Amino acid sequence: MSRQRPASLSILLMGSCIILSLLLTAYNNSNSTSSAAIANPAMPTVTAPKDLLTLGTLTVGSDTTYPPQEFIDTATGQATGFDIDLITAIAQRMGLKATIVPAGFDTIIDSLNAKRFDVVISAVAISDERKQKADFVPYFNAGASLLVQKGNPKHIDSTRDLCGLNVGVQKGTVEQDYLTTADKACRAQHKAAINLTILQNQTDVVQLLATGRVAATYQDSPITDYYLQQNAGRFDVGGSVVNAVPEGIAIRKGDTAMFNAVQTAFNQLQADGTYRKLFKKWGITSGELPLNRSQGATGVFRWDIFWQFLFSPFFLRAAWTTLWISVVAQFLGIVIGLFLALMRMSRFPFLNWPARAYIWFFRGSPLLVQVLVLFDGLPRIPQALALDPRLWQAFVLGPITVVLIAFSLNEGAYMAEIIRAGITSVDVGQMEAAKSLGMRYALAMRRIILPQAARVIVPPLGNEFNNMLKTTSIASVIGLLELTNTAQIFGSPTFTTFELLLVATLYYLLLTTLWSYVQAWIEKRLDPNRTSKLDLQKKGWTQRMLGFGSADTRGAGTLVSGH
Amino acid sequence: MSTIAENGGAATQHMVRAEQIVKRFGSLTILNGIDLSVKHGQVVVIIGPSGSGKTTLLRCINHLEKIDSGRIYVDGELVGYRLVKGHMVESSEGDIARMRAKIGFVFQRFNLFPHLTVLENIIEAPVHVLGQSKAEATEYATALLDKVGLTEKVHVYPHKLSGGQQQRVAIARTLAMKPKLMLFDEATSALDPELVGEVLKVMRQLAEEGMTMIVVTHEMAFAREIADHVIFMDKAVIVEQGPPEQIFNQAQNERTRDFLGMIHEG
Repeated sequence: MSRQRPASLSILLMGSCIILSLLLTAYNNSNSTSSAAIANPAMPTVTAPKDLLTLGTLTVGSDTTYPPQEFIDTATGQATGFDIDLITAIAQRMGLKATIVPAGFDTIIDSLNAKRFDVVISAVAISDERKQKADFVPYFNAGASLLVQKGNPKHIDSTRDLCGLNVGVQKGTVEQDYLTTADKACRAQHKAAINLTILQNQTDVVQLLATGRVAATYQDSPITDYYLQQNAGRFDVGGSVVNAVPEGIAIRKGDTAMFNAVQTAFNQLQADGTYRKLFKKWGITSGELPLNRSQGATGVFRWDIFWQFLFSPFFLRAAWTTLWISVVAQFLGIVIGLFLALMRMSRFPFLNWPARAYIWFFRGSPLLVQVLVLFDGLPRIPQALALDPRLWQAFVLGPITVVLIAFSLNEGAYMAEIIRAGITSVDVGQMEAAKSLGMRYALAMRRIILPQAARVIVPPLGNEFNNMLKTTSIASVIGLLELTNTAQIFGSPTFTTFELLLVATLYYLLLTTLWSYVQAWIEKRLDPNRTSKLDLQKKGWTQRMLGFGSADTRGAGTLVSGH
Repeated sequence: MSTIAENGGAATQHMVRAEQIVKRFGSLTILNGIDLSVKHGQVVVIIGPSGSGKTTLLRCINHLEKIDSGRIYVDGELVGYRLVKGHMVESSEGDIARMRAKIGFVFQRFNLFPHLTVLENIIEAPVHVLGQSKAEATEYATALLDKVGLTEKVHVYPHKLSGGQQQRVAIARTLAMKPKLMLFDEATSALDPELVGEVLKVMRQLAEEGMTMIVVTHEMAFAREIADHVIFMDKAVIVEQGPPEQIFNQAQNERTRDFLGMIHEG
């Protein structure tokens, strides 16, 4: 028995040693290969995608020449760095082992698409150019800088110098957020606001600068450098590289399983503090993504975001923009349509042919194209014609002007046909009666024909305006902050576009519903069979509401529509 | 106002003078050389079968229809055209409108403005064409409504009125312009038989007051009663004309007799 004790003790000790050494080994292994075992090397919490290059392994492409994010540890010959730790931890969450494959940066996305890796982590700044080749899970913020006109005539050295200026930025970038913050600072100091033009493509943003529409554009510093180099002698950098833009883990386009797995794993690492510890470990002081920036793609509907934005000033302002643009464009459309309808009905060919041609053109070409032609095409005309550069600016229209012009011209074509149908519906006897009373055409039109035509015009006009409220979403392509664009702009950096599009949808529904009430009210007012106020006073409510017991056999009640 | 144009003093005798009016719709000749003269205060009744051109003739007189040739003078003025070096050129819109303001036209289907009340129907043209004040126009309109016996319908919309009431409003609307000439285009044809009388009563009253009137009608008894002069039209021409006794009792032309015979049977 006594021998048994040491034996059992030794077994116990041995066992302990084994377990300890295993643990140590595990720790050391993980430490030496990836250094990611800061938190528990937990059980897989994310389902790994099935379609891997090597079973059980996440094959990662990285240009390991970029410390501290990714580089080769000269002591071990192993890849290491912030990025490497992060991707290893992400792989662990999926129950996979990360294998780093060194690769050249310039071809790294192509290699990803050629299936040489499962993912790429290599300080790849997320740009639209790259987004076209791959999907990105943002994990780090890199530097940003301002691109300005040659010689920096406005003396822009930081975003603080942008108050009161026109500035272009790419949609969904952190630069956009920084500019919004800078704008607030301007307002807080009672300076003029920053007039932002927010576009989908960085190329278009720089085009704004090229056409003089903006004084500066704000983007990733590599992009600034790129355009500086591409447009030699045309631009300059304003100030130094500041702030940060996201870099992303690149995933093959359409590989949704991988994207969701990486994003979810990253979100978990962010939530449990592993992500933050990596910054400390590598001595990186900035560039950390805020927690709420990358949570949307987990498939969970972000009610908090939804409620936060539902009554936010951003959406109230956007709804107002949508509304007033719709109202103004519709009004101008009606005016244009009225003249077109009258021209179209004229017996003189010099009046009716231009009207026909106009209607043919605007009804036959897409509104989106008309908007883009006005916005992007028009400023190129003076350059193409080599006009005096002082005239160029006259061809550069702001987004609101472009939208109002394009929308009302387009709407005019549709309204022309609706108004024409309305006028045609009025009995010819009405015009004859008006004329025989000595009225001229214009007076008869205004006083006699149009008020009656209105009754026929209003229902389709109501449809047109309902459409107009929603068509304003087209204005998002040139950066106007109406509802759809607002949803995209505030949603895309946090992957909550869906939540915010739902908010936008509710606003659209609110506007269209309100309009349907207004329309019903107008239709009621235009009803020639409506009971006059005097009649109403004389009648009891049953007669009023139901038309019962009407003494007048001809006129019947309000519910009986005439003739 | 330019009175007594190139046709001289004879025009002053006549409120309406039409010379050789020709009107065609495409290949169809509606009026084929119509001559017509209506003296001041005279009531001329035009009768004839459907399609004989009588309504078109009436419409030509206030230029609701253009004419292909011939001339129409109302109160000494050429209607709808002016002579430029012997050629007829259509007048300006304003001149035509001014001319029409002096000629009242009562339509078969009333053509009241359905979006306006009775009062608004009546004062519309006086206010917006003649430039009367609303108060002035309303005062006169009220008097006219009294005259046609519809005082209590001032604020009613037309669809609430019977056909006879609507036609009386239409007459009042026309009278509000203080016309020199009234044209009635089958003013009672669209009415139920029991409502015809009330409209004829108003017309009779106007005739007694000395209004110059051209009346197209199928009401033969009424025609005989109020007409100073009766014109029978058929197939785009005036077949026969004369005092009512002559036309109704001793018509010379066989077509006239046939037509009157049919009317009496029917």
